[in-house]
Amino acid sequence: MYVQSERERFYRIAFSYVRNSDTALDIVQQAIYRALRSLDTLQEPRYAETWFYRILINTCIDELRRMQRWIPTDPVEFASLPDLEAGECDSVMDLLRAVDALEPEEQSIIVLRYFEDLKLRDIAEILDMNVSTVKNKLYKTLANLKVELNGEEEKE
Amino acid sequence: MKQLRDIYERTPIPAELEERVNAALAAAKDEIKTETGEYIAINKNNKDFAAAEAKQEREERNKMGGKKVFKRVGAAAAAAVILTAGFGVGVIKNEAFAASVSDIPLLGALAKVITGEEITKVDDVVDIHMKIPKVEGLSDKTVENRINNEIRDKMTAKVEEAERRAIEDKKAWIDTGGDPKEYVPRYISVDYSVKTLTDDVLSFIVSEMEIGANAAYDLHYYNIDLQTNKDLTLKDLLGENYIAIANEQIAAQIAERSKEEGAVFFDGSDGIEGFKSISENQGFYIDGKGHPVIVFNKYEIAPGYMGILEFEVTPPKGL
Repeated sequence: MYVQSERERFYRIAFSYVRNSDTALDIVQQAIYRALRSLDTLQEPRYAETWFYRILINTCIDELRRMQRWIPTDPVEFASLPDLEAGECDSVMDLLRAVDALEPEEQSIIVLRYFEDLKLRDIAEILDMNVSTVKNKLYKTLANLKVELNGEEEKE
Repeated sequence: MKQLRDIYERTPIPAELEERVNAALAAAKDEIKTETGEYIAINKNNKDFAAAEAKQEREERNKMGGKKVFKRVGAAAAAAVILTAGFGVGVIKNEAFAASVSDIPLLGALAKVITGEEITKVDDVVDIHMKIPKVEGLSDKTVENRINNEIRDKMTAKVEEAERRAIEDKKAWIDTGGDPKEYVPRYISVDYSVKTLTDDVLSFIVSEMEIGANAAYDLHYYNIDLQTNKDLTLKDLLGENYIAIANEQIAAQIAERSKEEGAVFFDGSDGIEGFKSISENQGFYIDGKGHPVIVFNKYEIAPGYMGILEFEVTPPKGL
C-alpha cells in the first residue's frame, strides 16, 4: 500500500519543515487523512503521487505558519538531528540553518529537488507553478544560499 | 548539498509513524469517496472503533494533565487524532478492506509499469516500433534500476542486432539480383503486457517480434515480489517439488487439449520430441490468482500454427 510503504519519505519531508517529531507525525497523519477524504477531487489517478505531495506540503506550510504565530521564538529544534560526524558540523549546520530560514516555497523546491530527487516537472505540478518558475526560483535560491554561506565564511 | 542530503536521509524515524499512518487510514476509511463521488462501503469493525476511541480519550486526558500541551491542529486533524493509537496493522490486514480499496489511489499498489521509451524507425530496410517498459514505484530503487536497465539494454541490443541482420539481408537480396524497390523492410517490434499487479506481485512480459523472411518471437518474463523486491521463482510458487508438479499438470493439460479438433502437439513421432519437462529457465508469468502460468514459445512443444501455449499450474494445497 502506497501510504504505508512511502511513510518514511512523508515523515522526512514533514520533519524538514517543522524540525519537531511530534509535529511531523501529526502532519503525516493529517495529510493522509485529508487526502483520503478528498479523493474525489483527484481527477487523474495517475497523478495521485504529485497530488498527495501537494497536500502534504500544504499541510506542512500551514503548520509552519501556525507555529510561527504561536511561538514567536525560533522553532527550529536541532537537538533531534542525527549525530554529525566531527568536521561536518559547522559549515553544514550553517547551510542547514540557511535552508531552514528559506521561504516555505523555496525550501520545498530544495527538498523535493535535492533530497527527494523529484523532476522539475513534478515539482512544478506539486507547487502549482510553471516549470520555468520553479527553475528560476531554484537557481535564485541556490545562488542566495551560496552568497549567504560565503558571507558567513568571510566573517570567520 | 550532499552532506545536507545525508543528514536529511538520516532523519530518525519514530516507531510511532506506522501506527499514525494506520490511524489516518482508520479515521478516513468510512469517508473514502471515489472520483465518481460514490462512497466505498468498507465494513468497519465497531468493536475496534469503540475500543480505539475509548483508549484515545484516556490518552487525551493523560496528555492534558501531563506536560505535553495539546496542539490545535485543525478540525480534520482533530478528527484523525481521535483514532490515533490502538489500531495496529489489523486495519490494513483486514481482507475485506484491502480487497475493496486496492484500486484506490494512495491505497492501491505503488508499483506500476509504464512506457519508458518509445522508438520508431521506418526506412527502406527496417520498420521498427519499440515500446520499452519501465517499472516505477518499487520500494528498492536499486532493484528497480537494475530491472529497467536490463530491459532497456537487452531490448536495444536485440533491435540493433535485428537491424544489422536486416542490412545484411537487403545487401544479399540486391547482390543476388533482387530489385531494391521490392525489398520488404524487416518489421521489428518491442512491446509489453502487464499480467498481474497487486500489492504483493508484479508480473509482466516484454515481447520482441521480428518479421522478415520468417517470424520470430522472443518473450522475457518479469515476476517480482513487491514485498521483498526479489524475483519470484516457480519454486517460490509451487514449492520444492515444483518441477514434478508443473510437469504432471502440463502433461495432463496437453493430453486434454490434444482431443480438440486440429490440435497437434509434438509427441516424438516424426522424430520431433514433444513436451518432456519444464526447463531450468522456464518462462512463466503469474495470473490474478497468484498461480504461475507456464508459457511455451511457438515451435517449442507444438507446430507453429498452435501459437504461443500457456498452462496454468495450481499450487499444491497448503502452500
